[in-house]
Amino acid sequence: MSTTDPLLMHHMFGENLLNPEDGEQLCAVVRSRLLEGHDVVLDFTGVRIVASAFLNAAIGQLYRDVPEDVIKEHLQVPNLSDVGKFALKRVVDNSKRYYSDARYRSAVDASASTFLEA
Amino acid sequence: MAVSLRVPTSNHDPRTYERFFKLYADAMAAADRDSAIELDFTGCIFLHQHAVAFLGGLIRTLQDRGCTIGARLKSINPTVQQNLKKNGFMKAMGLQQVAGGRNTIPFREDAARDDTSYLGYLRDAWLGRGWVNVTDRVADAIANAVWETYTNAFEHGQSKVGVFSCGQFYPTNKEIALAFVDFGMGIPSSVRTVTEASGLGDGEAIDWAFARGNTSKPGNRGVGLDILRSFVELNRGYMDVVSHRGHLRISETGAQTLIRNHGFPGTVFNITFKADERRYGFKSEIDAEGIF
Repeated sequence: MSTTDPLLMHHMFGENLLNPEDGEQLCAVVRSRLLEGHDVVLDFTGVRIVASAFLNAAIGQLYRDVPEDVIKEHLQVPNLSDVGKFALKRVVDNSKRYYSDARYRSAVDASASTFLEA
Repeated sequence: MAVSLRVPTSNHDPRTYERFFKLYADAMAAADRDSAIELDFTGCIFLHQHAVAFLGGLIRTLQDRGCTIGARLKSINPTVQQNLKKNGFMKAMGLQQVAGGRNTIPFREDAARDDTSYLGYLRDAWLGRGWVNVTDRVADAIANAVWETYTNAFEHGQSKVGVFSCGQFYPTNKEIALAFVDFGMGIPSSVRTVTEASGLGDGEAIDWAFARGNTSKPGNRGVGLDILRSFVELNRGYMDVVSHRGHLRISETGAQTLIRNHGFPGTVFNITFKADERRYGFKSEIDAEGIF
């Protein structure tokens, strides 16, 4: 695999990564590069706050389309804060379960619609 | 003539929440029969941050129901009144205001979610006052963990009147505290929308919401409660989360789930950190190589 230039999170989104919409934009770029066979580096230098909602949109949703072993082998997240790593670990664990366990996914989606209708 | 409601005093006893939930129930019952309500502070000798945030939200809830709220100013203990002036509560409620106090973290109400402003509140008004002996990086970590839960209050809570916050620095114990309260559907109601959790009681539902991997949000989001709980536990803080009749209490002796005699429909978060703690973080838990 070849390595593309690191994606500088602070440069792309500022010091607070809060919006899932920004995460979705990032996800599209990362997904495309991983599926094209590149290594991807997300550099979090200069980032102060990372929302779990951003991480889920940016990285959690990769598990829908990109095989787990490809992500594990070819995605890096240097300089992510400790709390960011903690949040990312939770997001990744939830995503793996969500996208690999159809019964769990149905249950979550069903509860989501109930919640939204409440 | 207005219906008079007695505002209780607050303390560190966990039953303090019940007294305010009883006030909520009395206030809702009063609002059913009268549109004029007067708050009587006789006997109230202290109001902690969670009591101030709760009282602010209660007043807005009553106003949202069309009630007119007054206060018997002469009944307010001078120390309580001074504190309510310093933290901006009196101004927010349309009463008098003096300059901010040395140890107070302002009362704040967010009718709608405002991420950037709330992060500024956490960093500047709460953590940036020179009380906390931590680096900017650690202050950001605390702000990150607390902010996640603030966003949860909007996404889960569906509070018609928003989220109410207030804080306090306690110099004797070297502790900084922050409380935020929403008047929405509460954690148990949100959790019970999940099929596997639909039969849980109030206490069990709060436990479920704070357990790793559980979320009632769409699209696999909502790890904020887990993050905050872990952060508080790892850094030897204290936290009370009270919703309906369920009460999760985290302290140095561990986590306890309690059932209160009185509940209320929303959620109270009351979080305290040691201001002289030097080792904040998640390092003991995270293995950077093992994330994916």
